Amino acid sequence: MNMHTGAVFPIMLRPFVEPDLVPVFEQLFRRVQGRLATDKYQATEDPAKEGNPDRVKNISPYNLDTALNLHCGALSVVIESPSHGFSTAKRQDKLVVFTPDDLVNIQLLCHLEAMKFLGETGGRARWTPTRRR
Amino acid sequence: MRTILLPVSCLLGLSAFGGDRPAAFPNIPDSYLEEAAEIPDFWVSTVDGVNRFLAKNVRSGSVQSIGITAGGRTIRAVVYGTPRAGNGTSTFSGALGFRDVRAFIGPDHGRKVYLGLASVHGGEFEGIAGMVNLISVLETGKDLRGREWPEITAAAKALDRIILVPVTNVDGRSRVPLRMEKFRGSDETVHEYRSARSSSLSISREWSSRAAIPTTPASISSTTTSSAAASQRPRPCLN
Repeated sequence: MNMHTGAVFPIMLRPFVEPDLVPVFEQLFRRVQGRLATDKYQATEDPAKEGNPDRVKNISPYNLDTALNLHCGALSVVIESPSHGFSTAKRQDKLVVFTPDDLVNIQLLCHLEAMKFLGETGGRARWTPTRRR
Repeated sequence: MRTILLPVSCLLGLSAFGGDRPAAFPNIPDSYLEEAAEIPDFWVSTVDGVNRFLAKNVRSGSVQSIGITAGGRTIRAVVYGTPRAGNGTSTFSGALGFRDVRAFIGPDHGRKVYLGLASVHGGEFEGIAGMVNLISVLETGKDLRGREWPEITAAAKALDRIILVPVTNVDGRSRVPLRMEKFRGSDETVHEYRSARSSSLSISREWSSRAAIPTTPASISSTTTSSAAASQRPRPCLN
Protein backbone atom coordinates (compact mmCIF):
# COMPACT_ATOMS: atom_id res chain seq x y z
CA MET A 1 0.00 0.00 0.00
CA ASN A 2 1.62 3.14 -1.28
CA MET A 3 -0.02 6.04 0.55
CA HIS A 4 -0.15 9.38 -1.25
CA THR A 5 -2.08 12.65 -1.06
CA GLY A 6 -3.91 14.25 -3.93
CA ALA A 7 -7.55 13.18 -4.23
CA VAL A 8 -10.92 14.79 -3.64
CA PHE A 9 -12.18 11.70 -1.83
CA PRO A 10 -9.79 8.87 -1.02
CA ILE A 11 -9.24 6.68 -4.05
CA MET A 12 -7.15 3.67 -4.94
CA LEU A 13 -5.50 3.98 -8.33
CA ARG A 14 -5.29 1.19 -10.87
CA PRO A 15 -1.65 0.13 -11.18
CA PHE A 16 0.22 -0.93 -14.28
CA VAL A 17 1.01 -4.50 -13.26
CA GLU A 18 0.86 -8.05 -14.55
CA PRO A 19 -2.50 -8.71 -16.23
CA ASP A 20 -3.05 -11.71 -13.98
CA LEU A 21 -3.15 -9.40 -10.97
CA VAL A 22 -5.85 -7.13 -12.36
CA PRO A 23 -8.75 -9.18 -10.94
CA VAL A 24 -6.98 -9.20 -7.58
CA PHE A 25 -6.60 -5.45 -7.69
CA GLU A 26 -10.30 -5.12 -8.43
CA GLN A 27 -11.21 -7.29 -5.45
CA LEU A 28 -8.97 -5.19 -3.26
CA PHE A 29 -10.50 -2.03 -4.67
CA ARG A 30 -14.00 -3.24 -3.77
CA ARG A 31 -12.91 -4.03 -0.27
CA VAL A 32 -11.09 -0.80 0.51
CA GLN A 33 -13.36 1.61 -1.30
CA GLY A 34 -16.45 -0.18 -0.04
CA ARG A 35 -15.28 0.13 3.54
CA LEU A 36 -14.49 3.81 3.07
CA ALA A 37 -18.02 4.33 1.76
CA THR A 38 -19.56 2.48 4.69
CA ASP A 39 -17.57 4.65 7.07
CA LYS A 40 -18.70 7.81 5.27
CA TYR A 41 -15.40 8.75 3.69
CA GLN A 42 -16.65 8.64 0.10
CA ALA A 43 -19.02 10.84 -1.85
CA THR A 44 -21.83 8.42 -1.08
CA GLU A 45 -22.38 5.73 1.52
CA ASP A 46 -23.02 3.13 -1.16
CA PRO A 47 -20.23 0.52 -1.04
CA ALA A 48 -21.29 -1.03 -4.34
CA LYS A 49 -21.04 2.28 -6.15
CA GLU A 50 -17.88 3.55 -4.51
CA GLY A 51 -16.27 0.12 -4.65
CA ASN A 52 -16.86 -0.33 -8.36
CA PRO A 53 -13.39 -0.67 -9.94
CA ASP A 54 -14.71 0.85 -13.15
CA ARG A 55 -14.28 4.14 -11.33
CA VAL A 56 -10.59 3.87 -12.08
CA LYS A 57 -10.49 2.71 -15.67
CA ASN A 58 -7.26 4.49 -16.48
CA ILE A 59 -4.09 2.59 -15.71
CA SER A 60 -1.38 4.52 -13.91
CA PRO A 61 1.86 4.96 -15.81
CA TYR A 62 4.91 2.87 -15.03
CA ASN A 63 5.92 3.93 -11.57
CA LEU A 64 7.13 2.58 -8.24
CA ASP A 65 4.23 0.14 -8.01
CA THR A 66 5.04 -1.30 -11.40
CA ALA A 67 8.69 -1.55 -10.47
CA LEU A 68 7.85 -3.44 -7.28
CA ASN A 69 5.58 -5.77 -9.21
CA LEU A 70 8.06 -6.50 -11.95
CA HIS A 71 10.93 -6.83 -9.47
CA CYS A 72 9.39 -9.29 -7.07
CA GLY A 73 5.76 -9.91 -7.98
CA ALA A 74 4.19 -7.70 -5.33
CA LEU A 75 0.78 -6.19 -5.95
CA SER A 76 1.48 -2.59 -5.00
CA VAL A 77 -1.20 0.09 -5.25
CA VAL A 78 -1.36 3.83 -4.68
CA ILE A 79 -4.05 5.26 -2.48
CA GLU A 80 -4.56 8.97 -2.87
CA SER A 81 -5.82 10.70 0.25
CA PRO A 82 -7.55 14.03 0.54
CA SER A 83 -5.32 16.74 1.95
CA HIS A 84 -5.34 18.46 5.30
CA GLY A 85 -4.39 21.64 3.46
CA PHE A 86 -7.43 22.09 1.26
CA SER A 87 -10.58 20.34 0.10
CA THR A 88 -12.78 20.42 -2.95
CA ALA A 89 -14.89 17.44 -1.91
CA LYS A 90 -18.63 17.93 -1.94
CA ARG A 91 -21.58 15.87 -0.78
CA GLN A 92 -24.96 17.11 -1.88
CA ASP A 93 -23.31 20.36 -2.97
CA LYS A 94 -21.85 20.97 0.47
CA LEU A 95 -18.11 21.24 0.97
CA VAL A 96 -16.62 18.34 2.89
CA VAL A 97 -13.59 19.21 4.97
CA PHE A 98 -11.57 16.25 6.14
CA THR A 99 -10.27 16.84 9.64
CA PRO A 100 -6.95 15.40 10.78
CA ASP A 101 -9.03 12.80 12.65
CA ASP A 102 -10.79 11.85 9.42
CA LEU A 103 -7.54 11.64 7.52
CA VAL A 104 -5.94 9.32 10.03
CA ASN A 105 -9.09 7.20 10.11
CA ILE A 106 -8.98 6.93 6.33
CA GLN A 107 -5.39 5.79 6.44
CA LEU A 108 -6.06 3.20 9.11
CA LEU A 109 -9.15 1.88 7.33
CA CYS A 110 -7.19 1.44 4.11
CA HIS A 111 -4.46 -0.49 5.90
CA LEU A 112 -7.03 -2.50 7.79
CA GLU A 113 -8.97 -3.62 4.74
CA ALA A 114 -5.80 -4.37 2.79
CA MET A 115 -4.42 -6.46 5.64
CA LYS A 116 -7.70 -8.34 5.96
CA PHE A 117 -7.77 -8.92 2.23
CA LEU A 118 -4.23 -10.29 2.26
CA GLY A 119 -4.94 -12.53 5.23
CA GLU A 120 -8.16 -13.90 3.79
CA THR A 121 -7.02 -14.43 0.22
CA GLY A 122 -3.61 -15.87 0.98
CA GLY A 123 -1.26 -13.56 -0.86
CA ARG A 124 0.62 -13.61 -4.11
CA ALA A 125 1.24 -17.34 -4.46
CA ARG A 126 -2.50 -17.96 -4.31
CA TRP A 127 -3.64 -15.00 -6.34
CA THR A 128 -2.41 -16.02 -9.73
CA PRO A 129 -3.18 -19.20 -11.62
CA THR A 130 -0.61 -21.95 -11.61
CA ARG A 131 -0.24 -24.14 -14.64
CA ARG A 132 -0.58 -27.83 -13.90
CA ARG A 133 2.63 -29.66 -14.68
CA MET B 1 9.52 -9.52 0.09
CA ARG B 2 13.21 -9.33 -0.38
CA THR B 3 15.45 -6.41 0.29
CA ILE B 4 13.78 -3.22 -0.75
CA LEU B 5 15.93 -0.50 -2.23
CA LEU B 6 13.85 2.37 -3.41
CA PRO B 7 15.07 4.87 -5.97
CA VAL B 8 14.09 7.80 -3.83
CA SER B 9 16.62 10.10 -5.37
CA CYS B 10 14.49 10.40 -8.47
CA LEU B 11 11.30 11.22 -6.65
CA LEU B 12 11.95 14.86 -6.01
CA GLY B 13 14.80 15.54 -8.37
CA LEU B 14 17.15 15.55 -5.43
CA SER B 15 20.70 16.66 -5.49
CA ALA B 16 23.34 15.91 -2.96
CA PHE B 17 23.02 18.79 -0.54
CA GLY B 18 21.45 17.70 2.69
CA GLY B 19 20.64 20.97 4.40
CA ASP B 20 17.23 22.27 5.31
CA ARG B 21 15.09 24.93 3.71
CA PRO B 22 17.45 27.87 3.32
CA ALA B 23 19.82 26.06 1.02
CA ALA B 24 17.24 24.00 -0.79
CA PHE B 25 14.33 26.39 -1.28
CA PRO B 26 15.41 29.99 -0.85
CA ASN B 27 12.44 31.45 -2.70
CA ILE B 28 9.45 29.77 -1.10
CA PRO B 29 6.80 32.37 -0.32
CA ASP B 30 6.16 32.77 3.39
CA SER B 31 2.53 31.81 2.88
CA TYR B 32 3.60 28.33 1.87
CA LEU B 33 5.23 27.83 5.23
CA GLU B 34 2.41 28.77 7.56
CA GLU B 35 1.72 26.02 10.05
CA ALA B 36 -1.82 25.21 11.11
CA ALA B 37 -2.84 27.06 14.24
CA GLU B 38 -3.70 23.88 16.11
CA ILE B 39 -1.88 20.67 15.36
CA PRO B 40 -3.12 17.60 17.21
CA ASP B 41 -0.56 15.49 19.03
CA PHE B 42 -1.44 12.42 16.96
CA TRP B 43 -0.35 14.20 13.80
CA VAL B 44 3.23 12.98 13.70
CA SER B 45 4.49 13.89 10.26
CA THR B 46 8.06 15.18 10.33
CA VAL B 47 11.18 13.09 9.91
CA ASP B 48 12.42 13.99 13.38
CA GLY B 49 9.01 13.41 14.90
CA VAL B 50 8.74 9.99 13.29
CA ASN B 51 12.24 9.03 14.38
CA ARG B 52 11.50 10.04 17.96
CA PHE B 53 8.27 8.09 17.88
CA LEU B 54 9.95 4.98 16.53
CA ALA B 55 12.78 5.11 19.06
CA LYS B 56 10.38 5.49 21.94
CA ASN B 57 7.51 3.24 20.97
CA VAL B 58 8.56 0.35 18.78
CA ARG B 59 9.02 -2.69 21.02
CA SER B 60 7.35 -5.73 19.52
CA GLY B 61 8.56 -4.77 16.06
CA SER B 62 12.01 -3.63 15.14
CA VAL B 63 13.29 -0.51 13.40
CA GLN B 64 15.63 -1.29 10.55
CA SER B 65 17.63 0.78 8.13
CA ILE B 66 16.71 -0.27 4.60
CA GLY B 67 18.69 2.27 2.66
CA ILE B 68 20.40 5.62 2.49
CA THR B 69 18.98 8.42 0.39
CA ALA B 70 20.91 10.47 -2.13
CA GLY B 71 21.02 13.17 0.53
CA GLY B 72 22.64 10.80 3.02
CA ARG B 73 19.58 10.23 5.20
CA THR B 74 18.53 6.88 6.58
CA ILE B 75 15.36 5.25 5.30
CA ARG B 76 13.77 3.41 8.21
CA ALA B 77 11.28 0.58 8.19
CA VAL B 78 9.39 -0.95 11.08
CA VAL B 79 9.14 -4.70 10.61
CA TYR B 80 7.12 -7.38 12.33
CA GLY B 81 7.61 -11.10 11.89
CA THR B 82 10.46 -12.87 10.21
CA PRO B 83 11.43 -12.57 6.57
CA ARG B 84 10.95 -15.23 3.98
CA ALA B 85 13.88 -17.55 3.59
CA GLY B 86 13.94 -17.07 -0.13
CA ASN B 87 15.53 -20.08 -1.79
CA GLY B 88 13.48 -19.74 -4.94
CA THR B 89 14.74 -21.72 -7.89
CA SER B 90 13.90 -19.21 -10.62
CA THR B 91 13.99 -15.52 -11.37
CA PHE B 92 10.67 -13.71 -11.18
CA SER B 93 10.44 -13.35 -14.94
CA GLY B 94 11.38 -16.99 -15.32
CA ALA B 95 8.63 -18.01 -12.91
CA LEU B 96 6.14 -15.94 -14.85
CA GLY B 97 7.26 -17.68 -18.01
CA PHE B 98 6.01 -21.02 -16.79
CA ARG B 99 3.26 -19.46 -14.69
CA ASP B 100 4.26 -20.60 -11.26
CA VAL B 101 5.39 -17.74 -9.06
CA ARG B 102 6.08 -20.17 -6.24
CA ALA B 103 9.30 -21.11 -7.97
CA PHE B 104 10.54 -17.56 -7.52
CA ILE B 105 9.29 -17.02 -3.98
CA GLY B 106 10.58 -20.31 -2.67
CA PRO B 107 9.26 -23.04 -0.38
CA ASP B 108 7.71 -20.56 2.06
CA HIS B 109 5.60 -19.02 -0.69
CA GLY B 110 2.51 -19.23 1.48
CA ARG B 111 3.75 -16.58 3.88
CA LYS B 112 1.75 -13.39 3.72
CA VAL B 113 3.79 -10.21 3.59
CA TYR B 114 2.30 -6.73 3.89
CA LEU B 115 4.24 -3.65 2.81
CA GLY B 116 3.16 -0.11 3.61
CA LEU B 117 4.89 2.94 2.14
CA ALA B 118 4.21 6.55 3.05
CA SER B 119 5.59 9.84 1.83
CA VAL B 120 7.07 8.60 -1.39
CA HIS B 121 6.37 12.23 -2.25
CA GLY B 122 7.91 14.31 0.48
CA GLY B 123 5.17 16.91 0.73
CA GLU B 124 2.38 14.42 1.40
CA PHE B 125 1.91 14.09 5.13
CA GLU B 126 -1.32 12.11 5.50
CA GLY B 127 0.31 8.75 4.87
CA ILE B 128 3.01 9.45 7.46
CA ALA B 129 0.52 10.34 10.17
CA GLY B 130 -1.52 7.28 9.27
CA MET B 131 1.50 4.99 9.30
CA VAL B 132 2.66 6.24 12.69
CA ASN B 133 -0.80 5.65 14.09
CA LEU B 134 -0.84 2.20 12.50
CA ILE B 135 2.45 1.38 14.21
CA SER B 136 0.96 2.59 17.47
CA VAL B 137 -1.97 0.22 16.98
CA LEU B 138 0.35 -2.69 16.24
CA GLU B 139 2.40 -1.91 19.34
CA THR B 140 -0.35 -1.10 21.82
CA GLY B 141 -3.72 -1.87 20.24
CA LYS B 142 -4.53 1.84 20.24
CA ASP B 143 -3.75 4.70 17.92
CA LEU B 144 -2.25 7.92 19.23
CA ARG B 145 -5.71 9.23 20.07
CA GLY B 146 -6.31 6.29 22.36
CA ARG B 147 -8.80 4.68 19.98
CA GLU B 148 -8.71 0.89 19.90
CA TRP B 149 -8.61 -0.91 16.56
CA PRO B 150 -9.29 -4.57 17.35
CA GLU B 151 -9.87 -5.28 13.65
CA ILE B 152 -6.36 -4.14 12.79
CA THR B 153 -4.89 -6.15 15.63
CA ALA B 154 -6.70 -9.26 14.41
CA ALA B 155 -5.85 -8.66 10.77
CA ALA B 156 -2.18 -8.19 11.60
CA LYS B 157 -2.09 -11.46 13.50
CA ALA B 158 -3.18 -13.27 10.35
CA LEU B 159 -0.10 -12.04 8.49
CA ASP B 160 3.41 -13.42 8.65
CA ARG B 161 5.37 -10.28 7.96
CA ILE B 162 4.58 -6.58 8.06
CA ILE B 163 6.98 -3.94 6.74
CA LEU B 164 6.06 -0.30 7.23
CA VAL B 165 8.08 2.62 5.88
CA PRO B 166 6.67 5.79 7.43
CA VAL B 167 8.87 8.18 5.45
CA THR B 168 10.07 6.69 2.21
CA ASN B 169 11.39 9.88 0.63
CA VAL B 170 13.30 11.21 3.60
CA ASP B 171 15.13 13.84 1.57
CA GLY B 172 11.94 15.22 0.10
CA ARG B 173 10.12 15.26 3.43
CA SER B 174 13.05 17.01 5.08
CA ARG B 175 12.78 19.82 2.57
CA VAL B 176 9.21 20.70 3.40
CA PRO B 177 9.63 22.34 6.81
CA LEU B 178 6.06 21.98 7.99
CA ARG B 179 4.33 19.66 10.40
CA MET B 180 0.85 20.55 9.23
CA GLU B 181 -0.04 23.00 6.51
CA LYS B 182 -2.52 25.75 7.22
CA PHE B 183 -5.94 24.93 5.77
CA ARG B 184 -6.52 27.06 2.67
CA GLY B 185 -10.15 26.28 1.97
CA SER B 186 -11.30 25.07 -1.40
CA ASP B 187 -9.43 27.25 -3.85
CA GLU B 188 -7.79 24.23 -5.48
CA THR B 189 -4.39 25.79 -5.18
CA VAL B 190 -1.65 23.25 -4.95
CA HIS B 191 1.72 24.10 -3.50
CA GLU B 192 4.54 22.23 -5.11
CA TYR B 193 8.09 22.15 -3.89
CA ARG B 194 10.62 21.36 -6.53
CA SER B 195 14.31 21.18 -6.24
CA ALA B 196 16.51 21.79 -9.21
CA ARG B 197 19.75 20.34 -10.39
CA SER B 198 20.84 23.81 -11.34
CA SER B 199 20.32 26.88 -9.23
CA SER B 200 19.06 28.69 -12.32
CA LEU B 201 15.99 26.46 -12.51
CA SER B 202 12.75 26.89 -10.66
CA ILE B 203 12.50 25.78 -7.08
CA SER B 204 8.87 26.28 -6.27
CA ARG B 205 5.68 27.48 -7.84
CA GLU B 206 1.98 27.71 -7.40
CA TRP B 207 -0.74 26.99 -9.90
CA SER B 208 -4.44 26.55 -10.09
CA SER B 209 -5.78 23.22 -11.29
CA ARG B 210 -9.16 24.86 -11.81
CA ALA B 211 -7.76 27.05 -14.53
CA ALA B 212 -5.44 24.27 -15.70
CA ILE B 213 -2.94 26.97 -16.46
CA PRO B 214 0.09 27.41 -14.27
CA THR B 215 0.35 30.78 -12.63
CA THR B 216 3.64 32.16 -11.54
CA PRO B 217 3.76 34.59 -8.66
CA ALA B 218 6.15 37.37 -9.37
CA SER B 219 8.26 36.44 -6.37
CA ILE B 220 8.99 32.98 -7.75
CA SER B 221 11.23 32.09 -10.60
CA SER B 222 9.76 29.45 -12.83
CA THR B 223 10.83 27.48 -15.85
CA THR B 224 8.85 26.91 -18.98
CA THR B 225 9.51 23.21 -18.90
CA SER B 226 8.25 22.61 -15.39
CA SER B 227 5.17 24.77 -15.91
CA ALA B 228 4.34 23.06 -19.16
CA ALA B 229 4.64 19.67 -17.56
CA ALA B 230 2.40 20.75 -14.72
CA SER B 231 -0.33 21.92 -17.05
CA GLN B 232 -0.59 18.42 -18.47
CA ARG B 233 -1.41 16.91 -15.12
CA PRO B 234 -5.10 16.91 -14.23
CA ARG B 235 -4.64 16.46 -10.48
CA PRO B 236 -1.14 16.39 -9.16
CA CYS B 237 0.16 14.94 -5.98
CA LEU B 238 1.55 17.46 -3.55
CA ASN B 239 5.13 16.55 -4.11
